[in-house]
Amino acid sequence: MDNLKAFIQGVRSILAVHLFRAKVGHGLFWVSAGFLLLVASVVVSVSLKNQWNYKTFKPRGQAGLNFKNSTEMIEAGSLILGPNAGVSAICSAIAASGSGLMIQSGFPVFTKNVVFSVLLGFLLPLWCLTFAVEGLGAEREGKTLFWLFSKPVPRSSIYLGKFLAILPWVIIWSLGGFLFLAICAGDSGIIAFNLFWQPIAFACITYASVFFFMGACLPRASLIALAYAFVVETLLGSMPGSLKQLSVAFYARCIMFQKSSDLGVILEQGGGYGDFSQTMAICFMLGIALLFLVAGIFFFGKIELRGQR
Amino acid sequence: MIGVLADTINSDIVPLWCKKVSKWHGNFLGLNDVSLELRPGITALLGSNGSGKSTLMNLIAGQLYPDAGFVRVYGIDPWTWQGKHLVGYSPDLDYFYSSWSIKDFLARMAYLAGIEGKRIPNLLKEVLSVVGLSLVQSTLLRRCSLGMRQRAKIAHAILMDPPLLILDEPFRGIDPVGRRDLVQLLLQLQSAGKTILVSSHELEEIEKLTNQVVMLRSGRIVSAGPVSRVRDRLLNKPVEIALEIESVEKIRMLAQTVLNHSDVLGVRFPEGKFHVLMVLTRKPEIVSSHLVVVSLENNISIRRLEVVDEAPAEVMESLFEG
Repeated sequence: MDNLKAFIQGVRSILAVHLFRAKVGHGLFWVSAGFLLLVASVVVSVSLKNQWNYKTFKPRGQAGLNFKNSTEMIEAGSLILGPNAGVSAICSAIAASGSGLMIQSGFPVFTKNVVFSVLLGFLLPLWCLTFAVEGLGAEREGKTLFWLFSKPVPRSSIYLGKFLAILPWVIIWSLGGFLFLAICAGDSGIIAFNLFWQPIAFACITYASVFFFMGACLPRASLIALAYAFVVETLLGSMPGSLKQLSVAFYARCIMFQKSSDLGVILEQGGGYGDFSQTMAICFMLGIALLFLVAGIFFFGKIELRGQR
Repeated sequence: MIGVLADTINSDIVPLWCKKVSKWHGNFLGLNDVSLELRPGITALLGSNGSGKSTLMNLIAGQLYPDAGFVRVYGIDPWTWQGKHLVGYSPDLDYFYSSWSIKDFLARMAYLAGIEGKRIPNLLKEVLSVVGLSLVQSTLLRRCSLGMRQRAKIAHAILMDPPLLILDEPFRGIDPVGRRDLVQLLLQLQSAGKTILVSSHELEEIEKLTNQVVMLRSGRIVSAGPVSRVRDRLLNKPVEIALEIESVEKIRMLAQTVLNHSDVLGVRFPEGKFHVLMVLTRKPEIVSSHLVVVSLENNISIRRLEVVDEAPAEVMESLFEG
């Protein structure tokens, strides 16, 4: 009973001391801010040219004409076929529906090219590790962890308290970044944000747990976390077949795939994203988060502060 | 100040008990089969760098866990959170939350220690006054001098009013007035029944504090006893005087003359320094005067004359070699 009381009291006090004191302005922060601005500038550039549609983008895996070329050909066809009113009407109807499709195609184009690939495959892990690795990693490397260890607070409280203290920063920075990109993309982006902020938030929690574990328990955690983000999330996450199930991004994509399917938009054929229900995908992500949290508490409880001087 | 667990401490239990404690740092044995029992009062922990002082202190403060044996503070394992209530530790490290002020640092540490929020302002006022930081309490830790940070560490150690204080090199970086105040503070804490373990290279300060000394060498306790024994051995230790003169030709003649003095144990010529003569003696004052007289008599002009001050670590090492 004393242990439980001390645990709760410890989490509360660690949270109170560290919640609003996340380290901003370190190297990783500027790297992730830089990538945000870089991607945002590309998104703004595409938006200014009004290109968030299938006029210029071809559906993935299809060679040949893009939609703009196709509708132009149909319109040209109606001219070639001559003054036959029936044929002309059919061609005009096809062209009009194609144009309508192009106007409405901003959401899937933005989602597939920005959210599905760039955001989930690279930006989100980077944004999450920016704060999560620094949570206890900065204390380890700055050798201030000693001060926490000298207090009558259970190690498990320190770990959980610090995790809860960085979690809002991870979520605000990541969802904020997503919102910023969505606003840059205009209406298509806003639709995507409204539909996908929940799976992105779940992915943030999972990434936060994984990267926080690395920061707390591994030496040179920033490098390991960057390597993980690139190898597992970017490369493995975009592999064909079931290998991509090893990445956290896969489960977020499953939810997003099904949410957009509900709207009648199929984001990616044959990606295996329909194999997991939304509930299963959420359970997988929260399960990974919990696993790393428990493992972190276990290993962090055994850390000794060597070579402090 | 009221200790958090003060009521629960059984005065019959030994404040600090280390039994056959060993600690490895990789392939290096940092502490080897150390047994130690401390009663209330001040005990000094002496030893050269790498002798295992900080390792022992870190084990007592619950920052390290012994590979063999055990440590108990009032019967409680200091590695546990319960044990941390009983130990106030001022480490020999200089890493802080640099963007915090001294006051914020201590307030947050007090809060983490479980001290009620409404009690903290008064507690801080008291502790800051005791360590002499009241006037600079708003200074950011990154802007503090070494002495100020050292005082902040001592304030941190006494914040919870623990019955056992572990102070690793507490005099380092503190000015003479501060040292005098710190000695007074530690003596007051001793009078209040605290058990205090202090490591230091400053034998003069240690002698003012306590007569009880524990000596460590290569991770083992080599002796324990009164500090006066250490002091005597230190006074008897030979020192070298460096004499630098203008004329290279006369240096051999000077060496021969100096060797005839009964207090001179030997001379040597440092490699590559043809103007310098090193004289070994146990009585540097007498021999220095003699060197000046001999130089004047032989019309030799002196460039430099000084007693070579050995690093405290080397002095300590020499104490254990005998």
